[in-house]
Amino acid sequence: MILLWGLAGDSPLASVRNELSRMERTALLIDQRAVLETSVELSVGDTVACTVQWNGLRADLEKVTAAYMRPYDPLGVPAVTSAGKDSAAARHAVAVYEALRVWSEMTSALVVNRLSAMGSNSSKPYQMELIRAAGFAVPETLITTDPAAAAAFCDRLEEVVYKSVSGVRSIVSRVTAGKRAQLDAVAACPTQFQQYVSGVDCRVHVVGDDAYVCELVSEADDYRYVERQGAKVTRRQVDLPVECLDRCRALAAALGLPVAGIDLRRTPEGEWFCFEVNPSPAFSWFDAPDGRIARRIAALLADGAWPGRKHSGPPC
Amino acid sequence: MLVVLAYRYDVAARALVQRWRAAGEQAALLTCGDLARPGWRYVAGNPAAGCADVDGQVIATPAIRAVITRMPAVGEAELEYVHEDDRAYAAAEMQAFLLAWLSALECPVLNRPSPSNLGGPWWSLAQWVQRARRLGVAARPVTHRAVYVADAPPGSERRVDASSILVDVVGDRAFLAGGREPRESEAPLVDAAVSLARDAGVELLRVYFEPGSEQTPVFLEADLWIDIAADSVASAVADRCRELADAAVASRGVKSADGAATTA
Repeated sequence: MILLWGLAGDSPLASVRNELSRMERTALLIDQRAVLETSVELSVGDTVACTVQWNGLRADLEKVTAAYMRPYDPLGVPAVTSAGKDSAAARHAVAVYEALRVWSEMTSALVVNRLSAMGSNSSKPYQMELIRAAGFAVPETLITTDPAAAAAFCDRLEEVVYKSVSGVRSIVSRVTAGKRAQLDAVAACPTQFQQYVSGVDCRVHVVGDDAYVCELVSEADDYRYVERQGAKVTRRQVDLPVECLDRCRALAAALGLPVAGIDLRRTPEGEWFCFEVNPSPAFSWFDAPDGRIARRIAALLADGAWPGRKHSGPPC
Repeated sequence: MLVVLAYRYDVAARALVQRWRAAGEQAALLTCGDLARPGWRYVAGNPAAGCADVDGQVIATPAIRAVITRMPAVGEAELEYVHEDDRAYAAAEMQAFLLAWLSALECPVLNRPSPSNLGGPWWSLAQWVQRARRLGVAARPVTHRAVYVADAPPGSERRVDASSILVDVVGDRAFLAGGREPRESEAPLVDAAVSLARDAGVELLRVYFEPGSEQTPVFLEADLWIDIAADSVASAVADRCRELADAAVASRGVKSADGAATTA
């Protein structure tokens, strides 16, 4: 049995579910929208046992061979939000989330991806050191509360961007002359400055041993926000040099991620910079019309095996 | 310098710093408020080139001999000086910064952070129970039930009470409640607690066992926050920091010598 956890309407989850259905594989969806009708019991003694019940159905998670995890903030479910964060509904939603999270950390099933493995994305500089260790070039980076140090960094590199340190999504922006005049503000909180690297963006989705590459051409500093910046983005499926693909696979394996979205940029000189690894990629926007990424994720779940597991099996 | 990273209201952490200073050690308390001072520099890939702004002093990163972490996360309550609308974002940014900074330090960090907890691994009780059992330590089973009852009051199962045996691990040493040195008859408790700490890759760990299980310990719970108020524990933590710091310096020296030899 394959377990899907998240919101039924979530595009990546829905597309993987469709592919599994096409493959005639049994997939159990635990829909977060139905959290108030969902009960979970997790027991750990000599063995790990977990049962989930909803709407009169009961599933024993010991039978799960693979799981696709796309959970959202348990307090963000409409029924929970309307009840309030101190409500019994909120406590229940968090308890269900925690039980399933803990089960996913302890099960021997293939988990795409364990929430613990997703953690590196919560700190960009932390993750950057893991990316550097995998052999990718990374942009020169300073995090500082010292306005003079920030100014010196900007002077030296000429073209610099600033971005959030955490995984809280922020738009990558250039340090313009106007922003230079506001550098004193960095004294309030460590702020991340980064060498601007020019080139063409590529999003690589690693799925098991396979990789799918989408090239993105845009004038925007951050292609994810092209509309806000009045720019456009074009996408096309491309190939990468073998050694670069191997590095992507090795990086995903090192982070314990059977599925990963890796952001690369190829400079005019042909050097490959890596900026970030998204551990729960919303791949649908990047996928080819034939849905090959969704199909490959479904196949990975159906196989229930990933060579990278030998490096990153269940932590417990 | 020994740095203690703690919440500003962590009286025990403040006292530990005072105690170490009184003993002639250079020590300072690092709180979230220090992250809003203008002396921080973190150079990715070159941590030795950075600076920290701790307790009113700007310190070159290599001058830090060890860091003790006493907080799992940057709480919004620590950031009252930040506008309410920006507090959650500032907390996330500081948390992300501390994770990167602590992880990159070449000196000992007790305990090394994980992405979800600045004080070590973020394991649930169920995961600790599974770990203990895998190590051959008996552990009381655990069951989590999540059943929605519309007007249910908050509540949680209590596994630990005043009768439980607590063991605080500091490196290879262990202390019982109040910082008491273990008796010979309590060796099984020490062995079980230290083996759990080693398995978790942490230097500092509190482990609770069932009352009366001194000879055959039965694990109840573990957490990453030991009692640093006791003289014996405070001294042991300082000793462990010095021991690990000396080993780290020696290791870097060997690496430098190897590098020099290679270059030559």
